[in-house]
Amino acid sequence: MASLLIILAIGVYAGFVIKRQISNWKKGKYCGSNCDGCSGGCHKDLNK
Amino acid sequence: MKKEIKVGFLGNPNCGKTTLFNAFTGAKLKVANWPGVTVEKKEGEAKYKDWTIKLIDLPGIYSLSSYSIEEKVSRNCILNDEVDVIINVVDAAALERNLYLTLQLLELGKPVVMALNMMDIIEERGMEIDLHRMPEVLGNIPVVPVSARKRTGLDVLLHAVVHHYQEESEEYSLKYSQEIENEISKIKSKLVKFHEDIVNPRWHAIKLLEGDEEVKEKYADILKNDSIIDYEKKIINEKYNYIEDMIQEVLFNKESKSAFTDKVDEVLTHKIWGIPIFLGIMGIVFFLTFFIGDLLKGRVEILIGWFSDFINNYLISIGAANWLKSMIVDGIIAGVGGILTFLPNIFILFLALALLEDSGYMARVAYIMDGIMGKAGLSGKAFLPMVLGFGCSVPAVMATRSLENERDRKKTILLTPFMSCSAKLPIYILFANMFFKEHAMLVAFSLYVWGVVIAVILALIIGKVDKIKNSNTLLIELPEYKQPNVRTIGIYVWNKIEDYLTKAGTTIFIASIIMWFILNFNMNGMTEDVTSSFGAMLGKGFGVILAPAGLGMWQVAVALIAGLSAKEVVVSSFYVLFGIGSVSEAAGYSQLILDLNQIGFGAVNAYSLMIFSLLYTPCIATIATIKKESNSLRYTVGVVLLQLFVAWLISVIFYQTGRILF
Repeated sequence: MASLLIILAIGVYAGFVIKRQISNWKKGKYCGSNCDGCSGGCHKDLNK
Repeated sequence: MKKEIKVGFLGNPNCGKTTLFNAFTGAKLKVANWPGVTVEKKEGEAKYKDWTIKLIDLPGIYSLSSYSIEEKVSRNCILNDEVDVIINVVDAAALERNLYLTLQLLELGKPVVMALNMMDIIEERGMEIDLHRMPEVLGNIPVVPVSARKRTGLDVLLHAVVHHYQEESEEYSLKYSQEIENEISKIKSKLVKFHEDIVNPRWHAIKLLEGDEEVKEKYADILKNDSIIDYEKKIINEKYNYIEDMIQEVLFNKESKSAFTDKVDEVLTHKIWGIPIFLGIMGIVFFLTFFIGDLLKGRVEILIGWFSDFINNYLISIGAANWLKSMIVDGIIAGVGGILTFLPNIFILFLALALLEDSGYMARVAYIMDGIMGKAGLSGKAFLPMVLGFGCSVPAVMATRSLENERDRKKTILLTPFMSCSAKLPIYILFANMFFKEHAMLVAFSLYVWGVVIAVILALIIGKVDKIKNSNTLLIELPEYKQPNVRTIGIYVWNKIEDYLTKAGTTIFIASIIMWFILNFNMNGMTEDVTSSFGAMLGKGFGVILAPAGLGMWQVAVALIAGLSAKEVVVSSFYVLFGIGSVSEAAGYSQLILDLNQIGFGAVNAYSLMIFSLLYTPCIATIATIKKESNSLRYTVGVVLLQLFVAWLISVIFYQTGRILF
């Protein structure tokens, strides 16, 4: 039972991470994180 | 009714706009003591009484007739009516230069509030500004002395914005000589006649007289029958004459200047000693990164080793399946934990880089590199994105926007990823410590130097091949040296640490699971024999190409392929590949060295691997950014292929030479 819960937790977290990464990429946020505040695609791109 | 004002921060580069923006909004945007750090506009919000102030931080510009991407962003934001009030951030210590933009902004007819920044420097130098006379000579705009770094004058500034916005003050514009005024009137009446809805015809008339390409294109019908004489030089001269008169009235003890900056620059930007001093400073950064970083690293390793044992014992106690235990301990903890152990080194590196940036030294690096870059047909300004590349290639590629010339920009984008970004540091630390022991620091430092040297050599080669030569003159303002600001340094380092932790918890977490999967499964399901796994099949295929560089082992090939997701993954892959659950130096390193020796991987192979990691395509995020910035798939593919080829060629040269010598 505990094993099953662990697998489930890892699966849910991995799913969340992948979904977040895909969504970031679609928005042009390639770093997937904070970058260094350069707005290198990680912030709202207002120039388009 | 919602009370909202949209405010744009505008000013010369490196006058403190972003520091002011951060102070108002609580944002943590990167600031540095060199011009051109902000290349896009960013939005934030501040509250003043019952007003919501929407703030827009814009890239620095010297004038409104500019042509680099960042300058266009600022200009268009104002022209497209996106702001209600302009906060003109002015560096009080460089009043003469800053006021040129102020006069242009006033011509736009928008409410302008001047934030007179860096007043502390003025006081330190014994200079004085007449704050009563200053608004009078600028059409009674509010002039508010502020210190973005010390956070003084901020409320007064917002009060001035609200007041000035409500007041609907009179438009003010500099009066030119009669000759120019007559021309302005003539064009203005034509503009109003043919374009009834035109906003601020006087500004458009001035721009047409200056020969502004964008305005000329927009109002080509006005120019159809008349050829307008180019008054650009005259208009500029008259503006500067006015500024000169103004300075005499408002600025006292102008001659006092920072003798300290001049004295330090005599040494740091010396023709001969400049570059050795730069290398020396970077050497000290490395010394700190390795020695202090390693002291702290040992503690983190013990912590992660303890955590790994704890989870392992727990999984055994609950009777977890072997595969689950293997995935968590040998896959996730080995991969993610392995990367986390380098956190202290990353912290020290960025702390040192932040101190160098904020003190104003990094702008000097572009200056001292100008000669070498000039031989490659590039200006020293191209070296600034490369300096940023020591942190991360993504913002470095973005920073090439500050280069006016598209050709220069593409060349710089190609060279920037050769710098050792922070993601490459764990690779150097791991392999240098394992194979070069007491010379580890020197070996890692050599990789940083090789990155710069190879980028410069490639630039020289491209400069020779490229038939179109640009006349590049470096026009960079060398900022004052100043005591680094604790908050600025804190923001910089925290952003990097947060970035590193996020990457470990996301990209490296997923990469570790994938790596574990491809090493433990084949077409028939789970396998005990790693040499028949998917990973081995993939690695053996690419191993053939990498063999001349001493990297033909399938495990190495798999790690390098995985490293395309993020360079740190090369390290986490090694831990997963060799099942290093406990990463503590004593146990983990010895086991890894033993395993690597068994597959014929020694010190020369390790150096070749570090060289390859330094030079090959940094990561998928950088590739995507190159595509976005260049807007060309062909160019992006070309860059990736060239980087792979250069990495392969140089590694082969190093490996084959190393094999003969050692």
